[in-house]
Amino acid sequence: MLTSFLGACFIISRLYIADIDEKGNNMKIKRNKFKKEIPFHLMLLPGVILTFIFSYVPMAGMKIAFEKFIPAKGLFGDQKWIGFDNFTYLFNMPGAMAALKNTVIIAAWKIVLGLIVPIVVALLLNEVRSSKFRRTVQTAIYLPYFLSWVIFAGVLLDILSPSSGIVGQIIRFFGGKSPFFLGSNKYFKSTLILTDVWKGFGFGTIVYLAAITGIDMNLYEAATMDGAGRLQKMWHITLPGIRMIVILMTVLSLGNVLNAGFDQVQNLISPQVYESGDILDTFIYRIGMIDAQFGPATAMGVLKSVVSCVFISVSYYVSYRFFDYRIF
Amino acid sequence: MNRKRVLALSIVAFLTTSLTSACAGKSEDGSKSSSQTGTSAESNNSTKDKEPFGKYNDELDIHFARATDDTIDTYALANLPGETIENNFWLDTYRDELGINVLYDWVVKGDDEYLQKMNVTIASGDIPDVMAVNATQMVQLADAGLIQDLSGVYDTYATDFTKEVMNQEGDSPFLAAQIDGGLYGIPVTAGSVDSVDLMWIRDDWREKLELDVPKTTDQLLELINKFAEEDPDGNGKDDTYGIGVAGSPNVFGGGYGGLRGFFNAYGAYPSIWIEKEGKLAYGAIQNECKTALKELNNLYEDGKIDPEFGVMDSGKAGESAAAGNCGVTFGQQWLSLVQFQTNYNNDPEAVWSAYPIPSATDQPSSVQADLGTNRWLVVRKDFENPEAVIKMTNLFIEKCWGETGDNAKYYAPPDAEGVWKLSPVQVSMPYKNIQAYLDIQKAMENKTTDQLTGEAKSIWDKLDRYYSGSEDGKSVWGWERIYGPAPSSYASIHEMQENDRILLNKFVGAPTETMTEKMSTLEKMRDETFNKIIIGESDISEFDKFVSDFKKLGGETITKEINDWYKTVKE
Repeated sequence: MLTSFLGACFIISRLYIADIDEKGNNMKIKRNKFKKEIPFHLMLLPGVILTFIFSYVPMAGMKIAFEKFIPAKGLFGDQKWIGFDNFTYLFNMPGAMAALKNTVIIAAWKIVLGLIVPIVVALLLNEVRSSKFRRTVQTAIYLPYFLSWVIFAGVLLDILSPSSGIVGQIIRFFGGKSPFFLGSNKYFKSTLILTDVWKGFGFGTIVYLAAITGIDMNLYEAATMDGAGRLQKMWHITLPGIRMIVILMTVLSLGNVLNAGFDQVQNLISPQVYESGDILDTFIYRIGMIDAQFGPATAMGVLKSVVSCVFISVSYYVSYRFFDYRIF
Repeated sequence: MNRKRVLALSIVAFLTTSLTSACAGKSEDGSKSSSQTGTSAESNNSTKDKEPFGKYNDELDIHFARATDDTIDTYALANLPGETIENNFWLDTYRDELGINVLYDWVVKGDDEYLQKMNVTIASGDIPDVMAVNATQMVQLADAGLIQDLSGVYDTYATDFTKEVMNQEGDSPFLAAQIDGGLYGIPVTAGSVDSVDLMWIRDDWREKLELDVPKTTDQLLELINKFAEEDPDGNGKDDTYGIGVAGSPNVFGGGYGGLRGFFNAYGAYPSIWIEKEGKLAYGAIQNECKTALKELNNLYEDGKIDPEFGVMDSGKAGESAAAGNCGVTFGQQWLSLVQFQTNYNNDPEAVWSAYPIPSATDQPSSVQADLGTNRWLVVRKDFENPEAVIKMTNLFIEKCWGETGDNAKYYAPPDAEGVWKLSPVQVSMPYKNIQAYLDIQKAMENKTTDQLTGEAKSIWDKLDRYYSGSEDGKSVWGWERIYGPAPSSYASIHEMQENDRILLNKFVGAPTETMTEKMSTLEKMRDETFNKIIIGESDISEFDKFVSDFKKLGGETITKEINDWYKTVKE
């Protein structure tokens, strides 16, 4: 998912530059340019092939969602077609609706904070004069991004332990009573959201910082001439300058509205917080991989994909309509 | 513009489809590993006279799939230089003695991973010749006609000793495999009594505080209380917990901190099917659970249970015992090999002993046990030499426990543990552990320990090393706590067995239809409700709501299906 994200950013920025270059060029030059860019297309090819094999071909498996699927008979075996029964079954399953609700709430918060926090941090870092300090901070906040959730969950378990964790000790030092972040339904959701933002915001910050470096320095100089302060420059030049990237990241992240982060939740959840923490992915994992109920599990997967697809389309349309931003 | 479109399209393709594939793809992108090379097995059978150990003239290739784990790497293979999962002395034995060449289509690490990979393998239809599957998978495979009836070859080829070993616990291990009058799986038998919960107590603390071994739950609660309050480790700090509990993924695990034994003490059997008025009923919805939960809630409110138990699995929870901060817990017989051994290494004063569970009434309580057999070996429909599996099973049993066998080579050599796991066919003699214990005790009484043979000898060697008092012997302290004289794990298990205090799960069939669909959701509901009641987030009255929800959301249907099954077995 994230490698594709990176790839997308790279390509989009290239297109953006190419668009400026192309203005006023005639067809002949264009054809030459295509020749020149063949290496780039070749570089793209493995990605496209992999995507086709691992993402398009398996879509045939969606038919499982509409079958009373008996694995032993095989994917193309004599399975019974039952239409939308698997979906009905899912909606009647205890816990399915709670999981859906949790997913949307957790994912929505993650998307919102996952956008705002990196932008703010990037803007602030951009204003820091000492490049040494900036780079240190940049690296430090980027680090947790590289840890897998299995490891990070272990770290969190220790940090957030009410008896021995550092967070609990700080709270106690100031005379408070440490809540049990991972074991209480009151705090579990916010803990999930905040730790996810903590782990991921370094990556977003770097994307925005990169976008900021692309802004024409002349604009800042001109603004200084006109007597603009730092805040005004930030508001009138930096922010509009990275608008496109912000919109792009928003559009892309909206597709994640039903992805609340399987790795994270699976590693942090415990029975007493099922109520506030069980999400669609952990739900699907249980019915699909553990109980081998492939039919309902696939149905849930298809449902998720359809909803995500709708969200992406809507957000794309909105960004086109109101911000005149287009991918196609 | 056009070029942009192509590029952009591929980006969008990338992003949207990775969503789809994340879910829809799961069911079939698991590998379809190496192709079947086919078994060139035309009358390649030396069995003119159907010999149970008959050797194939031309080497017979058999494809298996298997799970491995860390203990195999660290305890077995690390001590057998040059051997691997795919190439080791067990496989050589099958080749040399039976002419069978074992090949693995795939090997995965971990039992859960094995289960999942097996599910996708079954879905792919490209299954190995022989594989170990659980009851659900066996029923699916039999229904789809992908595996064959083994009753004929089992009757013909299994030796009397094999049959004796497999029937040590009656016909229960065979029940799930009996489908439509055939026998579709050979049970991978394992001892049921080995899995019961025992009450583990730090005896040095108990003696220091001058307490008796609890026989009743009231005495147990008093002991828990004193262990938490009266500074049993004498370091002047309030750093001990009353009872060790592991709450994740639920409190019914068999490792350190499982609470099955605690519930059993109150006559509650939260994860098995019990017989009630001639019918089978699910243990977790019986009223006895409510009493046990109430007590647990009291303990929690009093600070006798680690407030973080809910997020700790058995390994994490066990750290407090290893560090010497906890002196009572429930769990299976082997705990002294792990956490308590660590505790002993850190503090040679520490003495952990396993006792039979106490009782809440004046009657002795029973402890619950699941059927030890939970895997069956099944054979692909068009595999032409199904008898090979029986022969391998014969050989395995003979080599490990038979008269001509050599337990110290094939099962438990002195310098490597668990080497029997290197065999693709693994059957355990259900009563072997308890038998080893009895043999050792008898030999110790009669001073004939030098005459012990087989597994009992390999265990005795460890005990002897410990008794010698050498520094090296301290590393096998845990074995003495299992097989030594009472109080030890098997002394307690034996005592409970003799007094008929082991209650087996009454449901030993393949999971019913509704069970496959609903049981895990219902169990999840049970785990959530129980944990929340213990920590006081839900009132004890939530239990009644759980019972009615359980029945409403499929429990009633499951109970009916299970009783239908029970009728067929009782006849």
